[in-house]
Amino acid sequence: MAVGEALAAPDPAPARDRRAGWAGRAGRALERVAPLAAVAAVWWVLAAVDALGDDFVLPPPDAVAVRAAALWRSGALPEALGATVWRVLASFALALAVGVPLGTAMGHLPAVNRALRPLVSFAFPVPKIALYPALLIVLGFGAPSKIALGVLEALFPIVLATAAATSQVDRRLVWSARSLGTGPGAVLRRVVLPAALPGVLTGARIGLVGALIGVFVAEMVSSLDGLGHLMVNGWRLLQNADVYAAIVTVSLLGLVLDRSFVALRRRLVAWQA
Amino acid sequence: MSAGGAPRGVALGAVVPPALVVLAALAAWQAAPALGWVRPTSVPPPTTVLPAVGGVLTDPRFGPDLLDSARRWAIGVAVAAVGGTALGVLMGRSARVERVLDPVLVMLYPVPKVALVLLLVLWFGTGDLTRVLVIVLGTSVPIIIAAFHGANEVDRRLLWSARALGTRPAAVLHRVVLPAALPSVLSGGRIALSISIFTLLASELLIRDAGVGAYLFNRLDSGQFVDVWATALLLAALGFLLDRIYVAAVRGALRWWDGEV
Repeated sequence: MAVGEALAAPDPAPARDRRAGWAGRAGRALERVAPLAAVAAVWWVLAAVDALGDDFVLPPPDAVAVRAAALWRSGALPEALGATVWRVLASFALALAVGVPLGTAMGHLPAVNRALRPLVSFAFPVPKIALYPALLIVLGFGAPSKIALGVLEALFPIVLATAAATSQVDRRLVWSARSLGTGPGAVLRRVVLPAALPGVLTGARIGLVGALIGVFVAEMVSSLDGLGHLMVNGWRLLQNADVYAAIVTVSLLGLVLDRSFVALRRRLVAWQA
Repeated sequence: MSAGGAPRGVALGAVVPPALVVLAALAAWQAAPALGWVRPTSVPPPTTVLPAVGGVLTDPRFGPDLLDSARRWAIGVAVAAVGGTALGVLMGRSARVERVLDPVLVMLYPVPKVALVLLLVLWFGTGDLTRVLVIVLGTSVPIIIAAFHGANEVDRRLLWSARALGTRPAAVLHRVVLPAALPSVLSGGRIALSISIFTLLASELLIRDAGVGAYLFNRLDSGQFVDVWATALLLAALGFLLDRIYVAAVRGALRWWDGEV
């Protein structure tokens, strides 16, 4: 299934940045900061000219920053951030714990693949959020329903990428190991999984973003706490600065999570080109 | 695939295992409330939910809600498909455009675009523009990325041949790059499709004044749990159907291509 292959395809090696020394490092850091600065600048200008509405509708960045600082000091923002972060990490961990073994079984054992592949393909395009009200009924309005949606959103990229990656391991590696006397279990642990790791991690990266989206949307739709709740609550109480603060926070959270994962992946598969 | 048609055993081997798994799942679903693993009011068994699906389909409020959602979805997806492809191809062929847009995309990618719904409502009101814009925002990113990769990885020799034969640079774009990038774009389109449905439902669950998402949540609010499950099942089936239709359409349109979507 090409979607699985696409998800498992390792990132193409980036063109090597030849700028050396502190000038190179400064240049690269600047490139990373530039888009954020550009967004802030555009925001400032739009707010200044009241392009989308008055200061109530589109507060300038400094007003939002002031409000965010106040929320931070009062504890509301740390609390919301903490709630969301731990739910995202819990969803991600659960999705990995279920998805990697499942995907490996699908990629490595043809019988399992025959039984499960059609079902996974069926479920992949299903909008899991349609099940969220049902999850609310079963799991209540607290953390479990948010984590459940996060798991559902994260699970499928992980399963599909793992299945594709483990099934694409060079058969000759497996044959060599077997002919040298390695047992089937050891082959899985020492040959297949390490060889599949790049693809699995690419799928896990997408799964992490999926977990964040699932948890945040669940919190937006109905929750008692978390960043999504903070945003919706601010909206309802006409505290627009809260809405902006929550959005900036969740965007930064997504960026940090994604970048950290990419760095982690580069470390773990440093042996790959 | 063996020449001369696969033997019947192969066809059975493909259908029986998944069918067994589905039956097992259905049996577990049926048994769970009866055995007390879950409350029957929370998780009604399939024998209650499946007939309720018919009830939902014939509910006079469901049809108009569905059409409402479908209309907004179609417009959003169309805009995202055309705009996203154009933008991605441009990025793929122009290093300058890529340098400018790539950081923006990298930044936007992990952000739940649905979060921007409230901002869009704040700026543009609760009308169609807002809803279409949300879908465009959510759906564009995978299309842009896929179009970028497709356009970026076009075989250089195709481009050289076209230029050598006298094709102007602009014509090379739409006569060589676009068709060559098409398989990648259509693969990304498949992912974009499921994201578009998610975005549509999420925005309607949040701003609950019209559409199937609103219908779903209203059932929850009024405690009609069986209908919640039935509607969820229906929407799940719709998502699956749309995906199947998409794959079939792509296979039909791109008969010259060996790969899978």
